[in-house]
Amino acid sequence: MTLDTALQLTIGGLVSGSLYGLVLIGILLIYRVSRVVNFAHGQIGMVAAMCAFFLVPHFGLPIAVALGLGLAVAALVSYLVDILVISRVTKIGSGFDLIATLGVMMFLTAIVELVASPKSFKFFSLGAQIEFTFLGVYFNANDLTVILTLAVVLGLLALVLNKTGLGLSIRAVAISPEIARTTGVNVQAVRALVWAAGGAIAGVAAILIASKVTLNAFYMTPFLVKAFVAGIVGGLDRFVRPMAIAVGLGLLESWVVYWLGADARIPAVFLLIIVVLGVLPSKYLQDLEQRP
Amino acid sequence: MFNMQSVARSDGRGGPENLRHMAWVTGGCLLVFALPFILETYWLYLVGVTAVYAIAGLGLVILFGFTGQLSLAHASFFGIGAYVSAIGGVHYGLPGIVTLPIAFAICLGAGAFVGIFALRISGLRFALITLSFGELFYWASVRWSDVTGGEQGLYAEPLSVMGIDFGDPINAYFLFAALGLLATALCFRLRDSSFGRAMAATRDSELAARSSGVSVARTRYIAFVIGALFSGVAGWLFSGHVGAISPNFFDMFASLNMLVAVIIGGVKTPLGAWVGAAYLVFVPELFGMAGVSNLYPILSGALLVLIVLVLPVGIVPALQQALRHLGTSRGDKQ
Amino acid sequence: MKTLEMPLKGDVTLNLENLSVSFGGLMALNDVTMSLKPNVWNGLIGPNGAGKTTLLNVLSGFLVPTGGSIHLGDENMTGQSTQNWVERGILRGFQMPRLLEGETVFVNIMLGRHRFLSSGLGAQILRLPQYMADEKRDRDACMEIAERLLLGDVLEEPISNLTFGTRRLVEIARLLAAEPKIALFDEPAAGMDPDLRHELVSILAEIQSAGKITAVLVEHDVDLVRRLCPVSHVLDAGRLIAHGATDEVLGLQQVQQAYFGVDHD
Ligand SMILES: Nc1ncnc2c1ncn2[C@@H]1O[C@H](COP(=O)(O)OP(=O)(O)OP(=O)(O)O)[C@@H](O)[C@H]1O
Ligand SMILES: [Mg+2]
Repeated sequence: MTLDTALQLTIGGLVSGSLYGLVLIGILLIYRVSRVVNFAHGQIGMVAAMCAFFLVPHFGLPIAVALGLGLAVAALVSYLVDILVISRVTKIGSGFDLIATLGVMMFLTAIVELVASPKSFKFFSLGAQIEFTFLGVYFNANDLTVILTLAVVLGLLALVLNKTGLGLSIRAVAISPEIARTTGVNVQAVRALVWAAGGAIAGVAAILIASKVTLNAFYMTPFLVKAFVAGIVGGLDRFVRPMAIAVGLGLLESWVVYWLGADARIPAVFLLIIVVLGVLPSKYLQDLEQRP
Repeated sequence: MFNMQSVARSDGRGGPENLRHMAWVTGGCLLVFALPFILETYWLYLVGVTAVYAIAGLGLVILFGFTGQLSLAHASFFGIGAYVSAIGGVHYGLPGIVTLPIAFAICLGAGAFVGIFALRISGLRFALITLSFGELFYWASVRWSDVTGGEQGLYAEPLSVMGIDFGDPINAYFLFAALGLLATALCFRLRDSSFGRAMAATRDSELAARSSGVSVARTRYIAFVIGALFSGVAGWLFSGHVGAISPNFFDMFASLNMLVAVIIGGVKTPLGAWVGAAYLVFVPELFGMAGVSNLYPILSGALLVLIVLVLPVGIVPALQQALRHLGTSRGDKQ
Repeated sequence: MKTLEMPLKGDVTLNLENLSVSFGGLMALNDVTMSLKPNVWNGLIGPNGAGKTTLLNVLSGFLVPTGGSIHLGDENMTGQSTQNWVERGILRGFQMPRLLEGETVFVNIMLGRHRFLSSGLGAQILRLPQYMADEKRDRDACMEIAERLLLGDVLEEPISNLTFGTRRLVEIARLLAAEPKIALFDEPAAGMDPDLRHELVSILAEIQSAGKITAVLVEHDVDLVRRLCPVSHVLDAGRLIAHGATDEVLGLQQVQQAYFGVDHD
């Protein structure tokens, strides 16, 4: 194996890992402020891609405008999901939120299938045709866009969370909505904003993913599953660890596919999960509220 | 005294309660025997499918409803049962009476093995580890195409047990009714036993469970294996009844569907598994009859959300509550 | 109440020697030595964060001590599982009641009887006579305890319908249903309204004066400790700073200082 191949594999892994990470960011953000695991997250992103895809031919919009509109729609859908469903469910009891987001996921999937017909489409290539070689490694503009997008989103997020009043409010709500409220934070507004932002980031992820796979109502599922894997194994209440695992998963897949063939991708990932969850010492697996 | 009586009720010696109970059981039995002579063959077939999904659903009621463990490998055990039955029949010409114990043993082994990894964890991590096993099963069932027929799947012979041909819809119906009732009775008895309380404790408060001497890991483990067995037997019935199986009956979405069904029916009650199964089987059928089958998926997502919002306990317990409010108090003790 | 033959025979002392528990750098228990004599009720007092709950966690198998040992008579109990503690009749309550929210009061109390179960799963499903006899015995015991703890009228209520005080009672009923030889109560009367509290105290006093069980009672209410516990132990910042007859202990200057923040000089 040459250095070129190793670099190539690493770049490929980084790209898919970044996509997992982009899906995961929204999940983590939303979990922070509302303690809800959002199964509908991937499909909310898909709405953005689908909107953009159909806006261009139907209204003759430029691609960039259509993508922007798609993101806005995803943000709106995400906000509505919280207002109409999640915020009502969590009052009833724990555990139901998960099932409710599952219902939303099925609902969105069905609507898109109905509107878009259950066919598959080829999405905009978003720079995949712009190719170049650097240090013997093959790149295309689309791959670079993915990695850059993740970096930009992470950077912006760090900036907002750590350097602004809004970020302080978000962190306060994450610790305890009740306490945040008593200190004058508008909890509802913060929640709405985070859900909308989460939806838009899901849209960004889904658009980038759409440019790499064939577009249908289910194309987000494997990416959502990997994002959840990273989130659950790494801890949904953390940030760095799950993000690192997301990117690591991409790298792992890339190398496994090279060594063992494309067929080995699924068993490699899921065997790893089983080993990790099966052998990790109990103290990492205990929920905080289960302590006496 | 009122409370004495209502507590005494669950051991079936509650006087008038007992009579009412008998009336329900007799009525139920009559209905079960009358159905095959009322319904057309196709509907009878659907009732059979309902019973199959109800048996699998009962496994989920035990595992998720009673014990609180959300499994995403349930359809995989269903698949093991189905493949054993189909492969045994197609490749080896084995009759159902032979494949059933094989399916049972393999599900027992698989459940016991997967259970080892899953007994320490709960919540989302449990869901994830079962999902992982489910994905591996799906992967293997597609890949191992010499035996499983790959994505195309297999045709399965109708079940035949000791010379009785269960390809005949009425025979099949009685087999399914008998097994369905047996599974339901088992599920009720599990719930109303000491082990049932251990499962509830494991689900609601690990601390309460441990401080009362309940072994949480052991309880989870047993519940998991029982759930796997229910699902496996249901899968064994499924392949002969439906006649053709393929991996997509047993993937993550199939597991999610089973989960959705029992949640809609009522996850903490065995009857919920039946209502959920009937929902899974008949509602798409009705939409098809009305010529709007494309609306079904939307409805099922919306309905799930609605149920969680309006009837978080599920249809069966909500009905029972309503009955009790009407002052009839006919429902079984929930 | 019928008493059952349990492995723990009559009167053994629970001896704690040099017990320590540390969380990271924090010593929640620091070199604690005490002995709990049979059938004596022990007050366990101390300011917030003194380590009282931590001590109960160790005495029920929920925490493994980082140092020291615990002996029940001759038997080494250090680091034993929660199940082993329960099996020997050592039962604990929680500072926040831990109940099965989805179940009725009756089921919650019945859970306490779990340790008397002698039938396997098969016998339970087949409803074999031995199991049914056990169930009847357990049911009767629970009814009796429920009546005694004023829960007779709410037996079929789901836990989620109850007030905080009643939830406390249900947890105590579960603990008593297990027929403890040594009972560990963590602030059993906290958060109860005065009437209920009064009832609870007289019930506990009745049990105490029957003289059949040992108890450790964590409690901030000093009057309650005076009434129920002839002996008391005082923890402060993980250390045992005093122990002895309750009245004497409460009179000690260092106790008043640590506990009430009163400075006599
Ligand atoms: N699981 C844990 N992890 C880390 N620290 C802990 C843990 N449990 C307790 N502590 C710490 O140990 C110290 C003793 O706590 P403990 O709960 O035993 O106090 P307590 O005497 O019961 O107080 P209170 O009267 O408030 O109930 C406290 O400082 C607490 O923060
Ligand atoms: Mg305490």
